[in-house]
Amino acid sequence: MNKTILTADDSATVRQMVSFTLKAAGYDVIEAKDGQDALGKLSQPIAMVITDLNMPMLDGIGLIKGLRSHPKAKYVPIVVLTTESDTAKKQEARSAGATAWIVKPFRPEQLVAVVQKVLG
Amino acid sequence: MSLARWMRWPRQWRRSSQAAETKKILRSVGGSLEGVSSSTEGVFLQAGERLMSLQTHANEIAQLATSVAELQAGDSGALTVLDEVLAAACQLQKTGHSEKVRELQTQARAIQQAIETIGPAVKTFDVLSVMIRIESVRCEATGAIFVGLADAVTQLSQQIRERIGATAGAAGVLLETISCAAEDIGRTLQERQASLGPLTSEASAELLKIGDNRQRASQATQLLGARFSDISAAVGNIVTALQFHDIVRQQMEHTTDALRLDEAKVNAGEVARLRAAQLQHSRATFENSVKEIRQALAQVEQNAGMVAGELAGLLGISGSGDASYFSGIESGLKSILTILQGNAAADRRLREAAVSIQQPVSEISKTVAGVRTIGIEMQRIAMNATIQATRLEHSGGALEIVALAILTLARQIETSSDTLEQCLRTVREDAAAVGAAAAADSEAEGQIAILRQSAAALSSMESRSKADYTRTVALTAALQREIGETISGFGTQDECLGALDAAIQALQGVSALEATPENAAAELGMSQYTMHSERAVHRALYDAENSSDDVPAESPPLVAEENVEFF
Repeated sequence: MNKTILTADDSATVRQMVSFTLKAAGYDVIEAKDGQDALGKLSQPIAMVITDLNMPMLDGIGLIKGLRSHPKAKYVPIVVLTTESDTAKKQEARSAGATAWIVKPFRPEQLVAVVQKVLG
Repeated sequence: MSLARWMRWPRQWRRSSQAAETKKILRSVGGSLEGVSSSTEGVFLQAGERLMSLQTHANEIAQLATSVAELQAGDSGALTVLDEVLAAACQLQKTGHSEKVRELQTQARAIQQAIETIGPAVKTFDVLSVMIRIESVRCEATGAIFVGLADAVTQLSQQIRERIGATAGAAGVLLETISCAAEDIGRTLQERQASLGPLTSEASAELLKIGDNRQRASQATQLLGARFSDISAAVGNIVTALQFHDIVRQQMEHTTDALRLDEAKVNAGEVARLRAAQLQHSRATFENSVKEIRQALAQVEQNAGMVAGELAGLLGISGSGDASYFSGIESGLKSILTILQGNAAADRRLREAAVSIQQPVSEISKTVAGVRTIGIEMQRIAMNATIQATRLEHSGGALEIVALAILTLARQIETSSDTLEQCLRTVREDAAAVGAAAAADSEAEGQIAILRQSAAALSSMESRSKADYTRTVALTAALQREIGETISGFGTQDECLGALDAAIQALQGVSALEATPENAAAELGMSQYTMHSERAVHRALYDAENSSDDVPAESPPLVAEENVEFF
């Protein structure tokens, strides 16, 4: 059975490219348009979360905090995929419980390599 | 209104009018940027959807192409077997059984000759029998009667005649059987010499060509791997370039947000100058990503076309799609099979002939044994006649001569019987040897089976390859058509670039209109936006301040080298 990855991004293009890349690599992907939408999609087992930082409703940091306090997603790896490369923002994400940080844009093989590394 | 106020009024009016104009321009720029963002999103999303379909088709083509290359490279076993069988077929041509069958023919003729020599002896026996009767009559006065002796000679002579008659018939059958086999073998040999040799050489040469091509097939597999690696890299470039829509969208959002801020009202000139430069950067990024997507799509199309071309070369398929490497050898192999089957049939007939020879040989052998016995009996009679002649003293002289003649003839018959038995032994041995050799050559039937099997394997591989190739060509055409539609649907985004140009120009106009020497607004902008790319623009903006504000910032590289960090 394929592992399911939840991707949260307010950009439809980025969600589409993450989904395209991960599906081609054999993963199932659930898309969420912001942090709040992502938290509402935890009914099924999620192997990993890939989230943007700047999103409406609930941003990436809020989503990470929400996931870490959620019983079902407490230990789920979270990769931040963002245009941000600011050290303070990175530190904030790390403190909130993020596992890795990728600056957009990503190359497909790079994203797959990160996912494979994180998921073991 | 005082004079001073009246004097200030035009300036205030101008400032107020200018502020209204600036506000209008900034609002218009903000609106047009929102329009650009939403219109490009649709186009980029559509390209992304197409990309999934392109990837699926490219994967299918890759699988088919790999399958063709593997099929072409993986039939070396069939080729080796074919080569060995053809070499063995050539060897078979050199051996043959014609010499042995010629030897058999010689022996059969010798048998006939030996039989023929007995015929006159039988007639002489008859004469001698008559002579004994005459002598018996002449010596009747002395009381010596040899009628019984004469009867015995006649009787034995008759027995020899009967047996030799039967033997002559069997010898005729034997000679005919052997002659038929010799003719059959001669014809087969001639056919082999005339056709099999050249055909085998031709087929071997074609096999060498196929073998060479198979070696190229493994190299082609690597080439195909490189093509699909290029396609994969191009798809990766598209994935990366499509993400720039999001980056540009965010940059434009930041610009529109900044233009709405109060600061824009106070320091409109500086904010507009900063945002114009940022928009130039966004424009360059956008233009670069559009170019990148179009180029990558064209690269996928080009590589897919090359894959089809390389596969055609691999299969030796001509422009019409009919010929292939295998078709060059196919008819040759069919002819070789026909000849080898003919050879196998000739071998079978020879084996049958070798078996059928045994029967007349056995019959002749039995008869000859009988004749030999009669010869010995005749010698006994001759001895008896000699004794009778000795008893008659002077008057037995003639009988003695007759007895001697009978003895000589009887010995001749014995000798002929010996010769016949020797010939029959040789025939029996030669026939057995021919039968054994023909049975050994029946291995050719096994080789034919292998040849047929290998040829069928090659043929099947060829038709599967061709089917895969045809499917690949059709898929490639569909893929190229789809890419063409995607490129055309994606367009050059000139309208969006034009809208961005207009926005940049409008902001530059505002900057000129509201020229202020302070950089306070720019500092404010710096503190508000933290995106790395935007900082680069800021730096470019201030670094370039002393030279020219009109120089657009360079677009960033597609992917930063170190953009991943694990915590």
